[in-house]
Amino acid sequence: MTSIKNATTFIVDDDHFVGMLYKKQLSNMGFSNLHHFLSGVDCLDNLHLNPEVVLLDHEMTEVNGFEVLKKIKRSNPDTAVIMVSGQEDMTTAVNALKYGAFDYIIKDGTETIRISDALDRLTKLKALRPAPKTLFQKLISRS
Amino acid sequence: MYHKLLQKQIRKYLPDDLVDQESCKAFLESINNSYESFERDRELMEHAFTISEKEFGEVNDELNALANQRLLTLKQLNETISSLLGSDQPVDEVGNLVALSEKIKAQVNINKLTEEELSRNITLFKTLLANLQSGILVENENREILFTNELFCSIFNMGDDPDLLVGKDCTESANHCKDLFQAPEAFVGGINTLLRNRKAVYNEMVETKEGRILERDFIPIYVDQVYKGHFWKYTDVTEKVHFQESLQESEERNRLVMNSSLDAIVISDEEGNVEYWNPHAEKLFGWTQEEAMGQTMSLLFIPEHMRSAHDDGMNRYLTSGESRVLNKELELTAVNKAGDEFPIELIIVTYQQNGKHYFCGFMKDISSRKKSENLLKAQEEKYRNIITNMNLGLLEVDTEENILFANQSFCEISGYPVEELVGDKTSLFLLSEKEVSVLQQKHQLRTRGVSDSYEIAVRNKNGEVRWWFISGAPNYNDEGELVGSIGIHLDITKQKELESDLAIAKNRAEEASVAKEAFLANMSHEIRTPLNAIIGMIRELSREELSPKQQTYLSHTDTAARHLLSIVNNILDISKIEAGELKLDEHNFSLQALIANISSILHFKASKKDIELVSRLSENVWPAFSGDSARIRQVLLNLLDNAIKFTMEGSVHLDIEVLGEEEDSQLIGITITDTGIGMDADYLDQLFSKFSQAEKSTSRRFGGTGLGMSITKEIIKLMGGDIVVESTKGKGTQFQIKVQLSKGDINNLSDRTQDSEHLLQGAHVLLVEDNVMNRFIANKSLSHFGCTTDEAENGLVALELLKVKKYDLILMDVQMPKLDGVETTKIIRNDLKLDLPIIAVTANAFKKDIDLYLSIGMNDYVTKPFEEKELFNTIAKQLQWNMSPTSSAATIIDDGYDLSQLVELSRGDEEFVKNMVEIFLEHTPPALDEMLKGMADNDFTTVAKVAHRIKPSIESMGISQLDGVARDIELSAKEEIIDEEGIFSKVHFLTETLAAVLARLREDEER
Repeated sequence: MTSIKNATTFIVDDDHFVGMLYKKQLSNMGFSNLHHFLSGVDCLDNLHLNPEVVLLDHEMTEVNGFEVLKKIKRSNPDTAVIMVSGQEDMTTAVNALKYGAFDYIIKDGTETIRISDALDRLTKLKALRPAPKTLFQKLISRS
Repeated sequence: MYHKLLQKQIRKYLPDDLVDQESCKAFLESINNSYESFERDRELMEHAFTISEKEFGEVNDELNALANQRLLTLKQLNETISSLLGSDQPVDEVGNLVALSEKIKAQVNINKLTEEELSRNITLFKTLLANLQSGILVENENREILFTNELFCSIFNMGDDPDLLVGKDCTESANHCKDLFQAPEAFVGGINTLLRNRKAVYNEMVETKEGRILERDFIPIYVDQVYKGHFWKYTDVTEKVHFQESLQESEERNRLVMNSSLDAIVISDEEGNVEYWNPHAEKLFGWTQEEAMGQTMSLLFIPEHMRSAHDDGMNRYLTSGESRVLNKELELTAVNKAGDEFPIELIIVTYQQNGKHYFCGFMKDISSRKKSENLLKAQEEKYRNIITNMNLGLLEVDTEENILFANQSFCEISGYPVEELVGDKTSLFLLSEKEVSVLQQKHQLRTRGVSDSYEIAVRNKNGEVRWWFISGAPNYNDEGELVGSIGIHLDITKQKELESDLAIAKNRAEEASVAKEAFLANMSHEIRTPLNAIIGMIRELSREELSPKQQTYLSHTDTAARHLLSIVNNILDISKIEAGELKLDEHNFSLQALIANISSILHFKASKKDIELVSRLSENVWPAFSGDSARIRQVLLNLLDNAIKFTMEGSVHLDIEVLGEEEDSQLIGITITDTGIGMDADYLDQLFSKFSQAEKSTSRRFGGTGLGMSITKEIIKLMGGDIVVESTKGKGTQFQIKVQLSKGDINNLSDRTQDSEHLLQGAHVLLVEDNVMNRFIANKSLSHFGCTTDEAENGLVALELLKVKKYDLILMDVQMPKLDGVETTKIIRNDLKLDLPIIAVTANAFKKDIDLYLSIGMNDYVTKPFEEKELFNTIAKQLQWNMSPTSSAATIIDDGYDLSQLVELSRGDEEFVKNMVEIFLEHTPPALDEMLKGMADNDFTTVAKVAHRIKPSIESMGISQLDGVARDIELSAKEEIIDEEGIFSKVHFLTETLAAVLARLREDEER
């Protein structure tokens, strides 16, 4: 069983400082394959790396977090996207979950703990079912 | 032949013719036969008798022998009888048996009588015992019952027939019947004791189980000193005992009643000797019961002058049964042991007991009642005198307003003689319809029992109009029915005239006062406006570079101008005080700070005169009070200023101490002592009156209007305190103020002096003022504070400016041509809907003006000419209100940060921390620039975004002084109605702080 810790993980936040902060935190948790992107566009450009987990900031200057989320999900519905946002309002949270986010975490200073919680839960979930095949794998297996 | 006797008969009596008649022959034959049979019978009888005679002789001899024998026996019998009857009986020697038998018979009769009597006695006795209301038991020496009665049987449950019991043995009877009694063993024991002792015991009480009480008598029976038995008698005395008990109870009750009676009760015998003396009598007369018993009443409590009357009265009653005092309520006097005579109420009753007369007296001290009665009488007398002699007209009318009585004074007042008045109606005096209705109304009131006083215009007999003051009251008869009313009348025509004169005078005075007030208001405005310019110009001039000489001239000019201002201010204060306009403000202030401030102001002045100014403040003074600090300051400044002014050498002391401590206030004593020139006693008296100074010469020497002390006094009076002064000419003066100050809250000090000059830095002020000079001065001051100022010479210009530019505050002159301050403010508030603070700048310092300004929406006011400091404080206060609390903290910029969060996260990766700091240093300045640009462009969306963005890094960098600030900015910037001021101050605070932190970070990094 492949550990989630080895999974390709994207951190998308246009704030360099915050991105670095999350990256350090995840690396402390044992994630090894981490990539930090400063914009949604950067993230989408690198989807070929096939990330299993994406930590996505909602408010970014260039492309809105929701757009990025939708595109990631379109590319690979199995990618677990954890939305991180300063928006406390309910609609944003509900929309995020509607568009397929794994979790919605509010930046209130305690988010690091909640991110690690969410990742723990994700680990457990992934352990229950075998890693689904990627589109590419599916194509190969069909041939 | 016929019998010879018959023949004799025939011959004698029968005629011969008949002897031969046949019929007679037969008859004679039968008779002859009878004769012959008779003859035969006689012969037979004679024979028989002879035989009998012979027999008799024989018998007679026999009887004689017997008789002799009998005589002998008789003699013996006599002897026996004699011996039997005793020697006392005369023994008549009777040989006669009959007599003897008679004697015996008599004796037997006697015996029989005796016996009969005895038997009757016994029957009587038995009947008596049987019917006695006691149970009787007679026993013989062997305790066998000789006699008992039915009652005894019933008491001891021994059957119905007492006769059946006779002869029964009673030895065990006590044991048998003991259970009938309350104390069975004691009963048995008692009986045994009695039987053993054989002595008569009477009236022993035993109680049965049923609660009956028996009285027992035991009587032993001795005959010829030989014990023959005994006698028991049981009598049921339950009723008697109960009766006795209730009798005793009732006696006891009577005794208690008499003892506890509030009346003195004394009972005496016919001689007047005391037989009974209850406790209250002891109290009333002072003699104890022991002392009083047996004494004659005269000596105990009857006053000397009444003793003979008392004795006479008693004798009269005893001899004739007549009395004038018995059974009546009398009021007399009595004396007590101490000899004091006092009034009493007395009731004497008499009764007879055992043929003797007794007198019983009930007495009560009525001194206090008498006293109040006398008082009442005296008062009645007094009032009667008053009514008779008073100079008030008294009129009594019935319910129909008919005059019943009028006193002499009323006649004088009305001009009518009594005769004309009585019977007439009160309408006699009335002037017009108006008075009629007044009187009717009053009449209505009287019928409802209301009394009141009123004034009314009437006409006297001469037709002159008079004013009467009438005090009317309803009049009731003994049954409490309204029978009319009584009025007391006073002619107040003179007073009425005076009153109307007074009202006219008052009106005039008021008009004059209003005129004076207006004059003062105008004057103060007229004087203050140019004065404002002068003082302002001097201030500005002094900021220029001046030669020392110029400096000196300028300072003299300044002193003179300020003196003039103080005079104007004093006059204003006085006119305010006179108009009752001087009102005390209420705010929290620190007395300590106030004293420090005053000291600092006057210290310079004192030291210039080489006088020591010492202020001492007790530690107990509460840190903050609630009151008018400005007025306290004015008072202290005035007194200290005077003290310094009038002191040539020595010192001025200010002592403040706590004289009294209450829960919510302190009594503060302020003492100001100088070693100055002092004052005359004469002058001290008028020190606090207006326009007075120590001496005419003083005025010239020291200047001043003499209003200061008067104002001081008024202010202290207004504060509820008092001020006293002691002074010795040439030695010095001491003022003592006592004032009660309410405790305040140190946290709410309103006059916290914020000497942060840069507080107003950058404030954009609109100055609206028509006077060029004043505008110039104000502008100078404002730019001195660091404000940027736009000027408008009237309201219209100001409104135009307000439409195109944003200001933080407006300084608004009130009196301006075209559009004055009041109107302009109204337009700003109502039409432009601007809520920036507006401060009135006015020479009209009267309260009614100030109230007007505040009511139309101005926020505060400054009086011309203003002190720069005052203007500053007022503006600062207004701006401060509009700024968020965080902005005031901006004055102290904290450049602290804390990397511990990052270090912890790094887990020893120093490079990471360093990188993070680098990133922070690199990214923050552009973010701040962006935010400021956003502010400048009024682009609050950007501001919000940037604030949102930089929030996490501020938190991670541990810049705790900015906790929540970024978030605040974000939220404020997102609101629909933007509070620009608020955001500005917050952004300012944020950028300043971050700039400082960044600088520090760089510094630390280099190290």
